[in-house]
Amino acid sequence: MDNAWYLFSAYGIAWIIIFLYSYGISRRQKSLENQIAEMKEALKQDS
Amino acid sequence: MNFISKVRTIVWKDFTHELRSKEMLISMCVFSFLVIIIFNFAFPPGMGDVDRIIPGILWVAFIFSGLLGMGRSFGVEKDKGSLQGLLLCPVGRGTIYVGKMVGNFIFMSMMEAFTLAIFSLLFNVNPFPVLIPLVLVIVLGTLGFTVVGTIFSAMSANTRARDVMLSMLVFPIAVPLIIASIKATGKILDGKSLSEIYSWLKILVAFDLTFLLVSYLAFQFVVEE
Amino acid sequence: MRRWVSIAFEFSTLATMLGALYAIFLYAPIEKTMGIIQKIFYFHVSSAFLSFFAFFIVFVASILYLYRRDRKWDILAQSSAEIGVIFCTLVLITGPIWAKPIWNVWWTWDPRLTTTLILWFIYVSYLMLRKMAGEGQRETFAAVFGIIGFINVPITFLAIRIWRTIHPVVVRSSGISITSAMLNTLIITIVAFTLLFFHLLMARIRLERMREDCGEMRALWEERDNR
Repeated sequence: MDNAWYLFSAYGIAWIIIFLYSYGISRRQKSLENQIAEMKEALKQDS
Repeated sequence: MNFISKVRTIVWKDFTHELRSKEMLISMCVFSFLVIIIFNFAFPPGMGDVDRIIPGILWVAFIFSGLLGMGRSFGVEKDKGSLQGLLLCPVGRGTIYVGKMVGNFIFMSMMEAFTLAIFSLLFNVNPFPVLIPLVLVIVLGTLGFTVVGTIFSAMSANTRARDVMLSMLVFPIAVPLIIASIKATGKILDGKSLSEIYSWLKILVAFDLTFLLVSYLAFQFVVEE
Repeated sequence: MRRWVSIAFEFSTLATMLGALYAIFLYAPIEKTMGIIQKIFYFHVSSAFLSFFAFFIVFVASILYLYRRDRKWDILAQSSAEIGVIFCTLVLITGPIWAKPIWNVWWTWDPRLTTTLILWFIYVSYLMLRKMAGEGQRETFAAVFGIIGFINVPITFLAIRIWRTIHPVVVRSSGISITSAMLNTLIITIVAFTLLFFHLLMARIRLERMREDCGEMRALWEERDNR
């Protein structure tokens, strides 16, 4: 049953790729949220 | 002015411009010459399997050199700003596209004639007995190539890394064209008749007509500012 | 109301994916000739189906963008193209992993796999075009290329198929005997993947909208600063 290794790696890679993309999206979202928070802070300080 | 004469004027403009400097034509021919020579070193004629890759070599020379020429086509217009002038003329966008495309086709064909001659000499291939079907295949292939190459050249001239972008746009789209042209050319050089390459001819014609129509319609979106 | 729908959607995505995994590993029978590795088939085919679906969305969104000039169609096209490339990459990775133990080659010039490769290149070029083009022209160029790219697919498939029938492939790629249990499993997996696709698509669209809003805000803020 050493074909099972191939099966595992196929599914493993699939999940890794999907997860990485999903994670990439959240990371960019986080950075945008930070930028918004920064601007909010600066506006608060001004007024 | 009717459509034909408008197209003819645009072609004539490009033609006379090129005639003065001959820059693009000479570069294209030198480049395809180089490609053929390099392949001659890599695969000397007389080596066993060379016959099978000969049509591929010919088309690689055509395509790479053709890309070079088409990249110039709109590159020059953009750099000199003459595209603005062209757009100001009371000519439909589609007409400009056809004019540019025909110009590119003519230049590419001139380069191909030269390349075919060199190729025949260096690879000991005699094209004359099969000249008519061979020319038909080359014309259909070149037509398809210039059809997509012209509109993509207009796009890539406006991007960074112009020539790389042009290659990235043209190659994936031109795949069916390249496969069909190479396979059909191979069959013809083997002496097969036109009826045997019927399915390839169908692909070539389908490609040419489909993308001519689509590019003609889409070109207006590409050149508007 | 919106919150409720969103939660239900997330939950059903997770549920169907778990259901699919159950079906694949515990319900579907093991294929006679290929053994356990045939189970890659479910992910492989589902990814292919979804990537094609994604590129179809790019095609339609591109046409709509050229006619309506509404940025939302462009955002849809861009997001769908990205996710389509992800699924296409999955097809191209799971394909060879499946092929190697069965036929002992990493790549077969099978018409479907080869067309998928070309499709991958087309949409990678699409994303590169978006990166390389300038501000106002990016969306238009991408839309034109998205349309031309999609129309090219059937022609490419035909050409490659004719090519492969003349030089018959040594290995046949559809040597699977399908039972109805396998078919059910495939359908469940495709549904699960479709939900996953929409999940990712929504996330990506939201990100793009946020990026636009942020950019607008920043521009306004800097303008205010300069005054």
